Amino acid sequence: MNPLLEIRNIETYYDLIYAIRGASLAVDEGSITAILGTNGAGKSTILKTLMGLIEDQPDKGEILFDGRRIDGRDTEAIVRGGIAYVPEGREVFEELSVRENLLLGAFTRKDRDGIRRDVQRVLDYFPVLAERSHQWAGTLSGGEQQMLAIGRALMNRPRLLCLDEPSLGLAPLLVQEIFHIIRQINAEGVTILLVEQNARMALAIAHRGLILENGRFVLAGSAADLLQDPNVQEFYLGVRSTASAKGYQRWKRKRRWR
Amino acid sequence: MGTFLENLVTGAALGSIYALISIGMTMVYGLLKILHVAHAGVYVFGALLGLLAFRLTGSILFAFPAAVLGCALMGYLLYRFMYRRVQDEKPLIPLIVGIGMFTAMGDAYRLAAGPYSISFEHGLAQTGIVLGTFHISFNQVLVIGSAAALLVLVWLMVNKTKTGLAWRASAQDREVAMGIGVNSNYMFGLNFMFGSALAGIAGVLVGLYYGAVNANMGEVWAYKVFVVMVLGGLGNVTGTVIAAYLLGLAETFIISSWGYFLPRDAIAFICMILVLILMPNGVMGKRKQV
Ligand SMILES: Nc1ncnc2c1ncn2[C@@H]1O[C@H](COP(=O)(O)OP(=O)(O)O)[C@@H](O)[C@H]1O
Ligand SMILES: [Mg+2]
Repeated sequence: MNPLLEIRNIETYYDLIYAIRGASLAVDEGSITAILGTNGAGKSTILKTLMGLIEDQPDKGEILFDGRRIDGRDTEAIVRGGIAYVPEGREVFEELSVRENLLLGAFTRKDRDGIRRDVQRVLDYFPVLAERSHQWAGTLSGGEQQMLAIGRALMNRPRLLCLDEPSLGLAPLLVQEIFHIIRQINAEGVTILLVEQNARMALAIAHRGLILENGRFVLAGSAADLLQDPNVQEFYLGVRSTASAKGYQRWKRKRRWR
Repeated sequence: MGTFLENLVTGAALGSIYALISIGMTMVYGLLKILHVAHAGVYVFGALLGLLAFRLTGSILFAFPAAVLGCALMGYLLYRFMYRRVQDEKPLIPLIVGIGMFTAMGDAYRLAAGPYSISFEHGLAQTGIVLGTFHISFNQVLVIGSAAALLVLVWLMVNKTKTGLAWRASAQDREVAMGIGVNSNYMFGLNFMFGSALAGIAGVLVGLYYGAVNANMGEVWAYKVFVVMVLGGLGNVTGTVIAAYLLGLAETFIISSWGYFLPRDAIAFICMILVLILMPNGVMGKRKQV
């Protein structure tokens, strides 16, 4: 079976900044795939490139969704094709109501009745949002805003849901709740591409994971394998190995991956 | 009492025109943070097209659709071929593009229509309603009435349509809006068409109200629209409408009580400077845009 999403050796520039330096990735239908990496590794850039949000990028490489090329297409067409995107930082429209935010998530859809049913479905799914559906999104708490951002993406009835650091800046209990929701969405048949710095949480729900450093994937494998990998344990899960006290050790081990 | 009511009506008519012209520019600012100086040129185009249609057909009923269609097209072209190319540059660059366009448009109008006022008299201009000493002209009814209807239309468009929702979302965060599938550039094009059509109607109304149009009639308005926009809190449509009526009324009442101690436009700018000093975020304070 072909993967639902396939990224083949893409390279992305921000003007002169070479941000993604040849990255390939395959996401199987029905799976949760996690992209892990530290700040500035290029995680968000990969998602933005996939969504067609960076003008004239990717500079090289191909992106295939359901077997069809989508690189170089308008974001609108990519979204209509069945990919939804939750940007980093709980980006809801603060001065629009919760309901209006949800309606915007269905912007590329035309089926009025289906949209109305889906608003109700999302509100049933997130009862805290239902209570506040006429309030401005800016009045919601951080966790509620993240739920709204996810609900808004679901309004697109996506086959693939891309989430950029959904745990960012949330209290641990809320992080757990959000990850629980992500797993539940996946169980209902939506394929998930999850970008995270919180490797432990991400690998706990993901089937596969990839580690991104400086615009390249340096390691990929099943979540279970990654959890066992000594490098991942040391640098992404914070498990101390005996040798890590020496500063140069970190650098050496990282080099080996390339 | 009669004078008070008459001032009220005169001020409201003036405010109606300020509002119709300013809305388009305010929406563009809210969406793109561009000072669309050439908007006053669109307004003059509407006045001239309206006059042309009136001359050709002999009926003011044709003046309005001609201005609406012509200005919507002009607004679209201005966006598509000028602003869209520079909308992501530093704000100074679209501003200079706008100033250049406005200057070129003024010259084109003077070439086409000459530098003098052209009469835009219509048969109903002298009629009106008289109640004792109180008198409302047909033109005042026309201006205030059509502005009220159009403001309702603007409100419905912005608040009750999918396009309006996309405008409000794009004004708050264009990248996020695009990321969830809003075709922002198309929506901006529609916004230019809509705001420009309103300015075109305002052009025809001003021509009818003063009984004349003039290729230079945009010059002062270009600056006065700034006053209204700034008073309204840059990019805020509701604030702009309120500011437009406040300015129209203030000008009328100040002049009626104290006479022309300064030229009318100087009074408008003094209002702006005072408000800016006292309320730097405009009459609405700092709140939502579009
Ligand atoms: N808009 C931008 N313009 C220029 N450089 C950028 C831009 N966004 C990100 N970058 C650079 O690209 C690299 C990857 O950034 P990003 O994808 O945001 O990383 P991550 O999401 O993994 O933290 C960083 O070096 C960052 O400085
Ligand atoms: Mg990021």
